Amino acid sequence: MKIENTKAQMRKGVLEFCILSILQRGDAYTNEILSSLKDAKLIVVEGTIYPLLTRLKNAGLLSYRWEESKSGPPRKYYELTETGTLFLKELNNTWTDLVMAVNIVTSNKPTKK
Amino acid sequence: MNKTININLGGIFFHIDEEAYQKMKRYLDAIRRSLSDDPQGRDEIIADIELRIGELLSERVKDVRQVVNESDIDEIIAVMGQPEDYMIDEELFTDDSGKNYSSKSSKKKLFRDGDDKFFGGVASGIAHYFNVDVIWIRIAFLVTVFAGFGSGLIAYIVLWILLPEATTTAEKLQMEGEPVNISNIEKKIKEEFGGVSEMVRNAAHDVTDAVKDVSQSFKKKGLSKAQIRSRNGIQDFTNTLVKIISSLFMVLGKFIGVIVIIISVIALVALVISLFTASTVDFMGATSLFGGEFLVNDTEFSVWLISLIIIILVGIPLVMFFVLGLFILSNKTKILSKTTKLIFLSLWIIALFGAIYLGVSQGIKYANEGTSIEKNDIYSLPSDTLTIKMIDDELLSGSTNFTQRFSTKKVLDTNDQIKYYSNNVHVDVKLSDSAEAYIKLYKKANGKTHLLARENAKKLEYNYNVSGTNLALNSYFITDYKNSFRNKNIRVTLYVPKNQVLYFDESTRVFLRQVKTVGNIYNRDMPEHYFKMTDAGLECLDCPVLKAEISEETKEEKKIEKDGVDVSITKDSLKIEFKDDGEKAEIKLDKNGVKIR
Repeated sequence: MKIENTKAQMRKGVLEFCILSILQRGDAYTNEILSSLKDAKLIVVEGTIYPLLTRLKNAGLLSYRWEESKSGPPRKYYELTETGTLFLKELNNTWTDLVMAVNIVTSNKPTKK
Repeated sequence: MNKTININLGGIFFHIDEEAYQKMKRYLDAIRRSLSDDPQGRDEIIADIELRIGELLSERVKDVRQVVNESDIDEIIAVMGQPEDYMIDEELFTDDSGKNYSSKSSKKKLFRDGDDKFFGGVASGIAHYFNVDVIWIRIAFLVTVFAGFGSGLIAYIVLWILLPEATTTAEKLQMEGEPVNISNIEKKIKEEFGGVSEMVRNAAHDVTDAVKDVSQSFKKKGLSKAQIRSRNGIQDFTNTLVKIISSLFMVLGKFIGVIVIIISVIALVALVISLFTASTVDFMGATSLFGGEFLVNDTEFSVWLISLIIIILVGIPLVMFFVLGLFILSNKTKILSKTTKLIFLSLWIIALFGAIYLGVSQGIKYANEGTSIEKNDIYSLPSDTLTIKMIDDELLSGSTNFTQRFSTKKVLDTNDQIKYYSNNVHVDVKLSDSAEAYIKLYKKANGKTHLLARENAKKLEYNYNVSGTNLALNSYFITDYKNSFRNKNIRVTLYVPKNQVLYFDESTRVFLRQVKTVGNIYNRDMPEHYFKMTDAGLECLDCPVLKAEISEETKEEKKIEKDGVDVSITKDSLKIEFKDDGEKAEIKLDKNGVKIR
């Protein structure tokens, strides 16, 4: 059991939730999603995001459109679909519950001893 | 100076130098492989990744003329992450959560295990693949070598050529079916390093021992420094010798490689030409090429199928030898792709089973022998001499002489039916147990069972006819084309009463077989002579008894025994012995004169 592996697993578990949350604020292209996640130190390398986005899109949670850009090649803009919004709501509830549960467990730990 | 390549990444044009291009290509290929679970999504993901790489590169490349170099690619890989980073994601998001975590990356591959080998490590590689103890595979190989007519040996050699040896740590892990990831590679390397360090330690130990020995012997014998130098000289000399010998072996090896290639190519060409000819001839129906029965295929399998099986069975090992030759010459490990090798191997195994099936079914077809016996009386026996003749059907045999023995042909009979014609007919004459003469026909054939064999035997068509003083026997029999010719013969035995006189026509010469005669006359000398049936067999009435024997050329000893008189003749002597109820008399004639005892 490697601490690095566990950390990565924990981070990756919430990645999906985070991507959907970012897109809830408004449509974004891959680069914007990437920089948000990188700023939050949720991902280290960019490669991780691509399979994830494709999966979410194929699952019908996201859709995308192409938009011309002035500085480079056309950009892929992602947006949340209706199912995506519902999915995110569910995840939000789960997350809140989870945070509470984890908080309770971790803060109670010393008093139990 | 480096070559540059123009590429298009996500719709943007780049100059990229060759090494950087190779690196990028490897990187993208690795990602592609790590995403191979999902071929549909993969292309899309790759396109997205390329797009992003293009974006990142265009941030770095300010000028259009600037060339992308290796360090740029390194930086991009650092940003994008290693191929494994893509893969772990994939596993996390598979829908089938019950799937074994390790099953995907631990696809086992067949390698040769160079660390555990007798010859090439084939057996241990297979053992790793099937996860059994290597001893069982080795036993299986040995059994097939001895019980399978060396097929195991061929299989071993073929596998040795086909299977790559697991050399890198990743390959070794794949061979053992452990997932190739960083921690496992680390473990494996540590294991190997442990082995190596132990070896080094042992070697060091040996060396110190040797040094001790030497120093002790120095003390004892007081070797001079000159002697040490000479020892070193000898060592140098042996080293050079070893080098020379090994380079000689290299040359010899290349030479063997060339020979292997030449032989395999010649054999392949010969094989293909011969079988192609056979198939073509069969296809055109010209089976009676070169005057005789050139091709007789009496199996129920067509010639092209048999040819195909032979080509695969013999040709594939030849191709392998050819590749082996190439391998010896060029040292290229990858001449055939793995798929080709596997296809070859499976084709060969299929052909092997086909051949076994063919052989067994043919063997069963002729497993048993059956005889049908017909007895026919001859009523109109002449009072004086019965002449025995053989008659042939010119229409069928196409020849008028009776010299050719055991010819079998496909013929058209008078009803335009295709039949097999065979002249495998024997004639014998025996003493009848009654006053009547009769003929017995022993028809012999083979078949799956005794009963079928007898049925086959009954189907042989044979005729003879008695007219006046002549007995005309057919010199042939015919049978249905389907009812093949193999191992069939007819034995005609004529039973005549005592004192019956027979005359053998010239035509019977090659057909008489095992006829019992007085004085053991060679059957082929019997025709054109008169014989009388006695209790002891046929007695010749007009044979020239001594005529042939006294010729000048007679070098070997000739012996004639008749009624208690033994006559033996050599080139320069004549001996006649009379035996009568234990009494003996002898006349000997040679260059010393005449002796009578």
